[in-house]
Amino acid sequence: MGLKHVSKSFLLLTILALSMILIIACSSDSASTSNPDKNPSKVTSSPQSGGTITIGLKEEPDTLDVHKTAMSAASNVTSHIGGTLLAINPDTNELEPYLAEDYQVSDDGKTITFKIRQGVVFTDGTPLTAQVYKDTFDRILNPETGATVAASLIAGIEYISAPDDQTLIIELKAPSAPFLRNLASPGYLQPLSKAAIEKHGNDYGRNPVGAGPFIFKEWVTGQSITLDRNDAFNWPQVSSKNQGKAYPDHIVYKFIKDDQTMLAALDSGSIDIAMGVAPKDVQRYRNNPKYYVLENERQGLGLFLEMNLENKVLSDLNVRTAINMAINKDAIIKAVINGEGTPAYGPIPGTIFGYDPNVENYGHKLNKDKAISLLEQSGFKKNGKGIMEKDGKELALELSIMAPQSQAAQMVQAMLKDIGINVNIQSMEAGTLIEKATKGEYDLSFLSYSYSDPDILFLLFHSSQIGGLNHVRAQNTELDKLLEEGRTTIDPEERKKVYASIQKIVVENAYWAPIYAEKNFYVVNNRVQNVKLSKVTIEYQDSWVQQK
Amino acid sequence: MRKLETYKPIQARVTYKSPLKIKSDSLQKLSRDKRAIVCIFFLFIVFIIGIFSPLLAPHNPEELFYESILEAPSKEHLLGTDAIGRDVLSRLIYGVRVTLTVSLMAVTITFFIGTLIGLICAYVGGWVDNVLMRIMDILLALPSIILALAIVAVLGPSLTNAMIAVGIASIPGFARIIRGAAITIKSSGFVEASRSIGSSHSWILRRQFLPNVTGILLVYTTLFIGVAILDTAALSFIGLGAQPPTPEWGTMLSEGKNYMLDAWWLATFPGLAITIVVFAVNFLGDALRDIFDPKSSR
Repeated sequence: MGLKHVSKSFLLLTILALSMILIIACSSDSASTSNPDKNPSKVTSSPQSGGTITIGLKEEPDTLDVHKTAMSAASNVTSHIGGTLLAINPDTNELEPYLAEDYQVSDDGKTITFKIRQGVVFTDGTPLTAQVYKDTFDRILNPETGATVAASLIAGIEYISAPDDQTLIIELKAPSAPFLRNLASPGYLQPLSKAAIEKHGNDYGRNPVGAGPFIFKEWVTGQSITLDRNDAFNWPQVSSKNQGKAYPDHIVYKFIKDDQTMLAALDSGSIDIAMGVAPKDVQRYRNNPKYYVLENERQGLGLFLEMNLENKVLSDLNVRTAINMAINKDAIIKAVINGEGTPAYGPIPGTIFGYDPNVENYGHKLNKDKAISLLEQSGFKKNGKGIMEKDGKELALELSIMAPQSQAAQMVQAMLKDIGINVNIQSMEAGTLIEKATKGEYDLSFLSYSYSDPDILFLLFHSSQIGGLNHVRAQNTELDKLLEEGRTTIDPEERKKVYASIQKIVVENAYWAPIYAEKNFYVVNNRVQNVKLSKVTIEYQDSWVQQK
Repeated sequence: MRKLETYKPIQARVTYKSPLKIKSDSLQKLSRDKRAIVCIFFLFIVFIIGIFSPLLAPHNPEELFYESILEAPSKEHLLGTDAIGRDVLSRLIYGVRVTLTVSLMAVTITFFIGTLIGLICAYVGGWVDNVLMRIMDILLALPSIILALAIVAVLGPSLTNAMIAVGIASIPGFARIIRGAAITIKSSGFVEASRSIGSSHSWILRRQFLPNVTGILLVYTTLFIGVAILDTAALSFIGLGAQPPTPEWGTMLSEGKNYMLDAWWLATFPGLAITIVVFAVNFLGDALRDIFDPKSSR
């Protein structure tokens, strides 16, 4: 049952990673489209070795010790210096072997046996064996390590054993539907060299050693991280065209916080790839033959409004439904993300398994008159100022946001004012917002999340998660039961049915006002060919740099 | 010491002329100064716009026009619309109110506390002067915007707090100037004469000190309005001043800066508004200085 034992601060960090940090690694979709075909013809068709790919990253990782970080920037960088047991085919989004040649799941779904690939060597010379994987997972599960995201990904593990160099056996506490896909999460679950960890001790996070296509070279604080090619690498995932070492000599990550500065760097050629480009800026590059744009849809919601059920006013279902009906999602999508997204009617988007398309029919639609009449049913009356009032008290709520959500917040403020609800916007740091939301010290709050499995709903709505991610403080026995069922149901069709009922309950109770699921954009200079966006990460194994 | 030197000529004047005479004299000079007249006229119009903004603005500044998001200037929206579909012109016009209220309130705070501290230091002298002025020196060591930031950080971000912060942050500079001007009066003959016939401290402060620093007060109060407008806009720019959806020029500028390449009108108009108003205020302050500070007069 996975995450029950996890502490509050852990959840806090998890959501930090899951929701607000630029989602690169964890994000994606089923229809990830890359369109290098549009490239101009001057490009040669055969790959060339050499050159450097320079990438603009919005955030600087806190540490490159994948067990201790919760930042997707760190998982993004480390995914290129290490591999994973299983990987995702960027074209089909199916699981495929990577560091495990093969795997078998037992009939009860609780035991998984992996056959570890032979000939894989860490860049410090240690060979990869099943024992190394056992040590790595043991380190994650050891509470002293303080692992956050990594621990949540393999939280279902009961016992690990490595009977010989090539065999790794994982026993789960209960059958877990999301477990295998979790193993393909880039960065976080790569095998670590025990020798390197012992050698560097607390400095390991600044000197990571992996068994991937690139080797960590240097990290200049506040500026950049440089990776060198690993010339010994010949074990890429099966679907890569290039089955040998990578083409570019180096990968350099430059940290550029400001959007406009990032684009200026892209324009001037000082970076080749800009991560997380704002939708409003993308159009310019789509029309420019010097660049190509990679995009995928967020696996999760880019914006939703949480409502605190412990708030007196919000405990009234009519008020929550009215808020849902007052929000014009299309207008927000048009203004905030330039139309590059889809309105959300339920708690999960179409990119996550188990999405019930029916939610678009029964989900709350924009209907101001109905919203007002719902408020009136609950005893509210418009006063002289056009604000709803009950027992002499105006209907006023506080909306907690982070600074980048200010536009959407102002729109929601205006929309709710239209039905007579006064909203006061409080802008705060991400950490403060999460802390307040976790403790339930808020009325309304904006948030986003990314997750690869509908199991995220367990974290968001199960009553055991109050004080964690269950910010709305939902306590619904029927919902609890279904959420537990969703975790352990392995049969996909059965599981879909469970999640369809869950979505229905969440929508009917109007715990949230879901707003949208948006696209992520990456702009790539044509100089760098064949960059691929997989379901979970951006791939450079088949990429090469055009030499002049 | 240098400050003291600067205002010495005032003392010379004061001893020969009655305060009332100076005033009518200066008004005459002011009416002859064309740039001052233009600035006063311009600021008067801005003031009128602020008072009558609900009548002048074509739209409600908080209304969202879903159909015309990020629209370039047109007939319907003379200065275009912003990223969430609000009319820029209307926000600019309502912004006058906010900007004027905040800066005038801030300057009022500076004016009263600054003058009080300045006069007390000059009049009492001794350790009181030393202690107060050293405190002012410490505060002066920080740029006023940093001080304002610190105050807002303690009080929490809101327009009222920005007002208080900007007001307090300007006090040290203001108090120092007033003290410099007043200290020369302290040693003048008429003050000593008043003291020797037993006039009360408050009478001397009110009737002899205050009238003689009026000129300086006027000049620097005007100049500090310019500073207050800029500081308020700066605080709002970084999100510590006006809170959404209040139309404030600094906030508008900040929201517009992300759209510099796509929608030039968003940052340009509030930017121009701040520049022109501050320019006019400073010009007027300069003109007033020329009049009240004989050393720099032509």
